[in-house]
This record gives sequence, C-alpha cells and structure tokens, in this order.
Amino acid sequence: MSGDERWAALVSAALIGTDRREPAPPPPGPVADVVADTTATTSARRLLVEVAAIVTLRRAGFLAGPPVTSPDPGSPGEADRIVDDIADRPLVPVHAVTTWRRIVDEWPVLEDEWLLEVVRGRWQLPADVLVDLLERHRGDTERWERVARAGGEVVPWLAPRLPALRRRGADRAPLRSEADLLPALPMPPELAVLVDAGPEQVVDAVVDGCASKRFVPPDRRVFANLLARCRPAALSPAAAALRSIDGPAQGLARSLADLAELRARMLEELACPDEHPSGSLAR
Amino acid sequence: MTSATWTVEHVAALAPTRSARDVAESTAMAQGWSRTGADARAVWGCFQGSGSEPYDVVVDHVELRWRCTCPSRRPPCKHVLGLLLRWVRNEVPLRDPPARVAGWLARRPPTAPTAAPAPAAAAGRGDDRPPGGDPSPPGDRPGTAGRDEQVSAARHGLRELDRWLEDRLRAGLVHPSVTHHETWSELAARLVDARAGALANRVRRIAAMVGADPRWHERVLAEMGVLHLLAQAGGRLADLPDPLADLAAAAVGWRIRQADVLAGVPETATWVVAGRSDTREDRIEVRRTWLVGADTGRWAMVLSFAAYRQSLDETLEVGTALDADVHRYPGGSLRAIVGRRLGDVRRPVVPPTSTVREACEQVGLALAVEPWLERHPATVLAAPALVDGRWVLGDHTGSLPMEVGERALAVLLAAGRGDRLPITVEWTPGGVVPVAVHLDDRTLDVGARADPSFVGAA
Repeated sequence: MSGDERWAALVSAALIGTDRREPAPPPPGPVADVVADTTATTSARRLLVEVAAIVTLRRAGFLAGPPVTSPDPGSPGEADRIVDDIADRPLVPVHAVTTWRRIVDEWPVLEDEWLLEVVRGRWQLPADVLVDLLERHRGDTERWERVARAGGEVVPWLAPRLPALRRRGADRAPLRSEADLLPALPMPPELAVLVDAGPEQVVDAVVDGCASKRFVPPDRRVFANLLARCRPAALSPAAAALRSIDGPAQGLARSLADLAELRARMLEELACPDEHPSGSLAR
Repeated sequence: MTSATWTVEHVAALAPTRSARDVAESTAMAQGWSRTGADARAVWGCFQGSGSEPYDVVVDHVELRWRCTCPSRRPPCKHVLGLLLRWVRNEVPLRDPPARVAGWLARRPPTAPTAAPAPAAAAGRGDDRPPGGDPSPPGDRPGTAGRDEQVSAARHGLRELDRWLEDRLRAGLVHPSVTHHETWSELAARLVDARAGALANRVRRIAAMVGADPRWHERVLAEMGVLHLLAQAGGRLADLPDPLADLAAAAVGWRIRQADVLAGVPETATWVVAGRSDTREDRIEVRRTWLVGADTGRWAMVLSFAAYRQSLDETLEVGTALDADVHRYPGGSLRAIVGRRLGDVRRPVVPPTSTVREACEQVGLALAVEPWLERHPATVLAAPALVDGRWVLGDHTGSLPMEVGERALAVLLAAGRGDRLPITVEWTPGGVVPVAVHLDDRTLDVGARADPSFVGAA
C-alpha cells in the first residue's frame, strides 16, 4: 500500500468514525513502530497517533513537483514571451507611484492625466500599479482602455485569465481617440476660458474668487477642475498665492494649493526621460 | 543488572523523599498493574490510574533511565518506583519486550555498564540524556525560567484536548458537531482557560478550514494530528531535549517576556526584510515580517500585533536591508525580536535566492525540527505557470503549488512577463503563498494586508 493510499484510508476512517468501522492496522514500517510505541488503547487514539506521524513525515519530507519546462500554451512563459516595446521602457519611478497613490486617495481628478503622461513619457507601469489600475477601472471602458494602452501586451493576456481584471461591458469597444484624449472637466464658463490662459490670469481668478468670498467651499470642485486642466506653468504661482490667503477661505485655498502642487509634482516626475537605456530597468 | 542484584534498598534510594517511598510501596501493591515484563535490560508495565489511559512505564535498569506517561513532575514517579519494587520482589515475569519497549530501548543505546545506585545516593535520570551529563535546568538559560511551570499549568487542558480529538475521530468527521462553530469555540475557550493560548489560536484556525473547500476534511484531519503531537509534546517536556522542549512549549502557549528575549545573545548581521503578511486571529491583527541574513541565509520572523484601531509595526519595510541585532526566542525559534539597529536602512535589496529544490530542502529541515510549523519563508528564483489547472511556482529543479489570490498572481505574472524573478514565499501546508516580488529597483509587496478599517494609522 502506497503512502497516498494509506492516507486516503485514514481519511475515510476518520470521516466515518472508529465507532462505526475499525481502521486497518498500519503497514509495517516506521509509522507502525510509532503507533506500537504508544499506550493507545482505543482505535481512535491509534488513528490519531498514526495521522500525527504521517503528517510529520509528509511535511518534513515534502518534495518539489516536476520542473516547469513547458508552461501552459498561451502563457507568458512560452518560447514567444510577451515582447513589446513596453518591456524595454523604464519603470515609472517609485516616487511617481507614491504620487499616484496619493492622487487616488485625495485628488482622483488628476488620474487621467497621470495615465496619459505615463503613455506620453514612454514609461512602463509597474506590475502592482497596472493590476490595481485594471481592477480599479473595470467598470469604466475609456479609462480601462487607457490603462491597457499603458500596460502593453501583457494586459490582453492577463485580463481573460483573471476575472477581477476583466473589463465590464467589453462589447462597447471605445474609439481609440477617446482613450488618447484628456477628458474635459465641468466648470462654469468664466473659469473654462482660463484653461488656456496665462499664469497671471489663472492666479488672479482663483485667488480673487477665494478671497472675495464669491466662490465658497461648495465651489471647491470647479476650482479643482480648473487647476487640473490649466497650463502647467500656472500651477506653482497659483499654489504660492493660495497659500498666502487668510481668513474664512483659508481652508479652501490650502486644499487647492495642495492640488496645484501635487499636479506640478506629477508632471515633473513623469516628464520624458532623456534616454532609455536599452534593455535595462525594464523590470 | 538483574533483580537478583537490585534490592529494595536500591529502589528506595531512588525515591526523592521518604513519603515518595511510602507512596511507591502502595503503588507496588495496587491492583492496577498489567502487561508487566522484564528482561536483562529493562522492566516494563502498565498501571491503570485515574485517567482513561493507563500509564506506560518502562525502566532501563542497566542505564538507570525510565519513562512514565503519568503527569507527575517528580522523577522518578511512584509508578517507576512501584514497578521496580515489584520487580525486585520477583512479581514481574521474564519475557521478551513488546515493540514499544524495544523501540524505546533501541533509541537509547547502552553506554558503559553502571552499577545499581548506592542506597545513599539517588543518581537516576528520568529522561533520555546519557549518564554523566546533567542538562542545565531551564531556569539557567536566559528567558526560560518558568517554562515547565507554565506548560505544567496547561497540562489539564492538553489532556482534555487529546480526549476531544479522540472523541471527534470516534464519532467521525461527518458528524454534524464538527461543522458547528460552538464545537470548536468551546474547545478554544477551555484551552485559553488552561493557559494554552497558542493552541487555542490554532484550534480557531482549524475551525475556519471546516467546509472551506471540498477537501477540508483532509486538512482538518492533518491539523488534528498536529494538535495531538503538540498535546503529547507539551505533556512530556522533561523528556525532550531543551531546544525542542522550548519550541514545543511556545507552540502550546508558553509566554516569554520580551525583556528576557532581548537579554539573550543576539545575532548581529545584515538582515534583508524579505516579505510580510498580515492575518486576523480572533480579534487581533497579526503581522509576520520575514527577515533573512544577507550572508547567513538564516531566517527570522518578527511578529507585530494590533487590536482594533491600534497600529501594526511599520518600521520594517519590505525590500530594505538593515544591520541589526536580532534576538531569537528560546530553542532557536524562527520568532525573533529586532534589537539594536546599526546604521541606515538600504533599499532596494534583493534577498539571497535559492532554487525550488533547495527551498524544499530548507523548509523540510525546519519542519523536521518543528513539525507543527504553519508557515516558513523562502526566496526562490522562479516563475508562475499553470500546470494541470493549478498555478505553481517553478524553475528547472521543480515546482511548488501556490495558494495565491488573484491580485498577487496578477502582479507576479505582470512583473515576470514569462521570466523568472526572485519571489519570497511563505510555505504553508496548502501551498506556497507569494509575499514579495523583488525587482532591480523596487520590491512589490504582495502579501496579505490588514484591513485598514480595523487597524489604525501608524
């Protein structure tokens, strides 16, 4: 009787119970010696001793399974590994990943631009960020597509095999151009015209709006949308001006300053690297 | 040595006190003796005491060693003395030793012949240790004082545990009581009352396996075997070598003060923080942080605990290395405490890796010492692959079945893109659990993480 057969017999005996069926004695060997060495007088106790001995032997002596030389067809381990230009790109820097996590927690309005900057800067998404993004945007066709573009060929391989990463509503295939564009954000006309304005105009509008109490905390979102879409050059001056605001609007101003600084940092971190050393830092 | 050489006075000389001699006389004359026998080396028998199981008594009258399964902490116990008295009075028949006695004797080969003890001196040893070398009592080793007393207090609980296990196997695992939460929670509560808290936690973990998958009964049965092993080990600490006794005592519930651990000699080395995993046990979140010596390859486990809204230790970041003193718990345990930290933390650092086969050997060796281990770390250079419908971690030397959640698996696949990577895993009886992927410029921490709504911010 093999070890597996004996274990199966013990499991059966344990399931049924020794009151109903006496288990067969163990075959000669070290396990039988251990059972014989005890003072167990009941079948149940002898069964317990044998189980303990077998479990100890199996765990201490466990062997590895067969080597993996021929991975499952269609897996990335095949001879034709996933080869795309993304594999040679440098990984998004660690500090940029930290910024992304803060964006997700505090200012998700910046996430679309973060992703597009990753694509534009020819970065490679780290595996944990890619997986989190795919799961996070399963229900959003456009954003999921944006993530897939940033992730490369590994995404169409991963998604079908792991249900948690599959895009919901996959029947609606987005136009490619939708995923390429930064979506517009809602804001009143007087702020919308400032998206392409110079830094001074943006600063004046935001600071004046906070200080004059014309805009109040419920208007926080539209100001945030403006700062999320204005020209990058306006961000640092706007942040500095907002931080100088006192009075009742101070809370709103400081919050918007955080947003401006965060976006400025994000854009700086994801600026195109000067050179990508071929084949290095890809993992 | 034969019964013709031994006298009643020789047996009396073994008794630690006069009252012990009197009790031994009563035991010798009692009706509870059965299956007695003797030969040129040993005398043996069973004595039915107040427990459900008779006490098994074996005495090597040549090497002056003995074994008795009674709970007495006073060696030699009344059963050993009583049996010897019966033997010297020719009340024990000569016969061949049964297998259990022969096995016990075979594991203790005779040394130079020794004389029976002088009547004025009690020189016996109630354990496996060869003559001439008394072990230092547990209290002489830093941090170990009180071990036997603590575990002794749990003895009642250990016996009850064994009876409970036996009852489950008599009735069968298909009995409805096995699937009732109360069946297990009441046992855990009794073990807590018996100061066997570590065993109580283990019982709760086993309870969570019931019905969890189609083969739960196999896993539960295996863990019941391990519980029996611990119940027996906890009841026989004096028979075990000190390091093993320390490990068994800790697994039962021996609580050791951190100050005592820190008072011990540390291992000073460069330690790589190779992985981390969080689990919820009852109402406590437990964090296991795995350290490995960069040069030694020796593993250590640092535990951190958090009740509701408390914080877990966040000072050991996965993928970093630090020079530090690491103090192990008694017995050469995996569990350790980080003491002095020397110098700055360095990152990223990849732990030393092994092949799958080497990892199996390392884990197997650890389990041979502590068969009750539920987790053991390893860092392998391997890649995930789908084999016969199950994900494994493999290389050219072998493969290991994985117990892995979807997110961790996805990260492994996306990070590797088909190539092998250094991956730190926790071996568990159900498979290896990936906890970290080590890249050139960062480490991806994929271990299970505590519910942020339960633990507070650090």
